[in-house]
Amino acid sequence: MPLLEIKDLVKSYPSPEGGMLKVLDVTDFSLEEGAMVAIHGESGGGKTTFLHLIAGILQPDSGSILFEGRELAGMPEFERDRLRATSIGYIFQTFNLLQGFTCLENVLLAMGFADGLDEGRAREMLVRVDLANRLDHFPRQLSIGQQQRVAVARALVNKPSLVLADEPTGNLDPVNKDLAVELIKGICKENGAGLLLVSHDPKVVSEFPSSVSWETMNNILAGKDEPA
Amino acid sequence: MSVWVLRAQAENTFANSNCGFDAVLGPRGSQLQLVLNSIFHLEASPGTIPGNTAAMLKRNPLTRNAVKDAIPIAVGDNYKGYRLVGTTSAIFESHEYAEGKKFCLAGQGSWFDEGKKEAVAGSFAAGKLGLEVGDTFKPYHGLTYVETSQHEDVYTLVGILESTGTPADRVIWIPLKGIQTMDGHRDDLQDDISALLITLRSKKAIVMLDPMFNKQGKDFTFASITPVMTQFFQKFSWFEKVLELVAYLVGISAAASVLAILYNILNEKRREIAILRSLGARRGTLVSIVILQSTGIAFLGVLLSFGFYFIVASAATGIIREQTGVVLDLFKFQEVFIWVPAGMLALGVISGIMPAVVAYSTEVSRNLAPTS
Repeated sequence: MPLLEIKDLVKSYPSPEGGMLKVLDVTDFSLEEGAMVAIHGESGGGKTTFLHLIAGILQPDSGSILFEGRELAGMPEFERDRLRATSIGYIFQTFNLLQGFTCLENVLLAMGFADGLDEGRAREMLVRVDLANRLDHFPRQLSIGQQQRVAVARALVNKPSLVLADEPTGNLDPVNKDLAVELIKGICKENGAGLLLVSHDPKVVSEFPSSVSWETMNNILAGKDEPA
Repeated sequence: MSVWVLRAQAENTFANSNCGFDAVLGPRGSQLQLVLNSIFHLEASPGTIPGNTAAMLKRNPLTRNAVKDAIPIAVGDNYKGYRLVGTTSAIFESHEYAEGKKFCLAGQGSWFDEGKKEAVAGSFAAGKLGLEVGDTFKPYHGLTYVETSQHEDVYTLVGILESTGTPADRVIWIPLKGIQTMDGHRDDLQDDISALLITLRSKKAIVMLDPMFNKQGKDFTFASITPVMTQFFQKFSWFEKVLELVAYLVGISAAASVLAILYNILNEKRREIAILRSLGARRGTLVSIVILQSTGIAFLGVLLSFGFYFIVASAATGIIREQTGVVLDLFKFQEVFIWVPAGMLALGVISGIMPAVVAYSTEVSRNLAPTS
C-alpha cells in the first residue's frame, strides 16, 4: 500500500473578481513508503496548495487523499491536526521558526503537540543537524543555513512517516543548498520517512532519484483543464 | 479592594471599639461629639455634667435597674498632645474593655492611687512620649498641646497599660479629682465631670433610656455607642459609592487594556499562530492558551493588587491607630477578598475572548507565506 495516494484532487479559491478560481487539479499521484520524490515547477503554480492539502491544512473541493490508508478529505479537523503533529513533518522555505523561542524550544514545541516532550530526543536531533552548540540560541542569532537546520530538526523530531518540504532551499546560498538537501534526504532515509519536496531549482530536483513536473501533474497548467 | 476593606473594617471596628461600654451620658449636645470625645478621645468636650449624676442614676429605680455600671470621666488637659482622662480606679479593677478582658499593666507598676497625683499611661501614648514608670510630668491645659499652657501640678507615672487595640491606648489616665482640681481649673466646676461611661444590664434598656434622656429630659444627652458610630459611617456612604464606581471603572479599563493589548499582539502574531497550527496545534489549544494568557495577566493583577492593598491598608491602619488608637485587622476575612479577585479573573477571561476568536479564526494557509 502506498504511503500517499491521491486521486482527482481539485482545489479552488475565491477570485478577486468574484466566483471561484481553480488552481489545482491532480488526477493521480502516489508516494511509496520511504520514497523520495521531487516536484519541480515555477512559483505560483499551486504547489504549496498541494502540500497544504496533503498536510491537512486545507480541505479539497473534491477528490481523495489517502495517507497511510486513511482518507484525509472529509476527516475532522482535530484528527488532521493530530496527524500533522505525529505523522507529517513540514519544512518551509522561510523556515517558520518561532522567533521568541530558542532552537531547543522550537523543536520541543513540535513535540508538545504530538506525543509529549522529550528533551533528550530534541537535543539529539539538533546534534544530528550539527547544532549542538546552538541549543539555547534564538533564531535571529543563527545564520540562514543554521535556521534551516533547526527547521529540519523540528520537522523530523516526531519521526513522521512523511516529510513535506516546500522550497526548502529557496533562501539558501549554493553551498548551504547542497548541504540542506543532503541533510533532509539523509535524515529521512535514517527514519524511513517518505519525502515529497517541491522546488523550482533544477539542480535540487536533479539530486532526487525520482522527480515529476508540476506542470505535467497539475491539469490546470497542463492545459487539460480550464480554470473555472 | 482597599476602599471596600478599609471602609468595612473601619465601620465595624469603630462601631465595636466601645471599650466595653454600651452608652455615654453627657451634657446636652451632639451624640456623635459625645461618643467621639468620651470613647475615642477625639473632638472637643461638649461640656460638663454634675458629678453626682452617677448617684442620681442609682437613686432612680428605672435607671438603677437598667444601668449595670457608670464610670465617670473628666477631660480638659493633655500632655504633649496626648489626652489626660480623669477617672476612677473602677475602670481598671472591675471593668472589662472587651468580653472577658480587663486592663492589665505591662511589666512593673501599679494602678494610680485616687488620692495622689499619679498616672497610668496607655501603651501607645507611653511609647510615643517615651514615658517609663517612675517618670514625672506636668500636664498642659486644654485638649490641644500648647507649650505655654503648662500646669504646675506634677504627676508621676506609676503604670503602663498593656496594649488593648482600643482608644484607651492613646491616653494618660489620672484620678478624676486630678482633672477636677488641676491648678488653674475653675473652682465652681470642681465637682463636674465630662461624661459617664455606661454599661447596661441589657441592651434592651437603650429603648427606655434614649427617650428618657433625649426627649423627656433637657439636661443630658444619652448616646448609644454602636448606633451612633454606624450612623456616622452611613453619612459617608455617598463617598463610598463614588469610590466604588471609580473602582469598577478602573477594573473595566484594565480589562479593556488587556483585551486591546492581546488583540493587537495576536493580530501581529497571526503568522506564529499559523506556524503552531501547521505543527499540529488544535484551534482549541490556541484558544485555551490565549484565555490562559489573559487570565494569567489578570491573576498577576490580583497578586499585585493584594500587595498594593497591604501597603495602602498598612499605611491607613497606622494612621488610624495613631489618630484614634483603634487597630484594624487587615487579615480578618472579608467577602471582598473573594469577589474582587474572582471579578478580576472573570474580566481576564472575558478580555481574552476576542483575541481567542482571532486565534481560532486564523487561516493557516493564508498566514504561512510565501507560497510556491
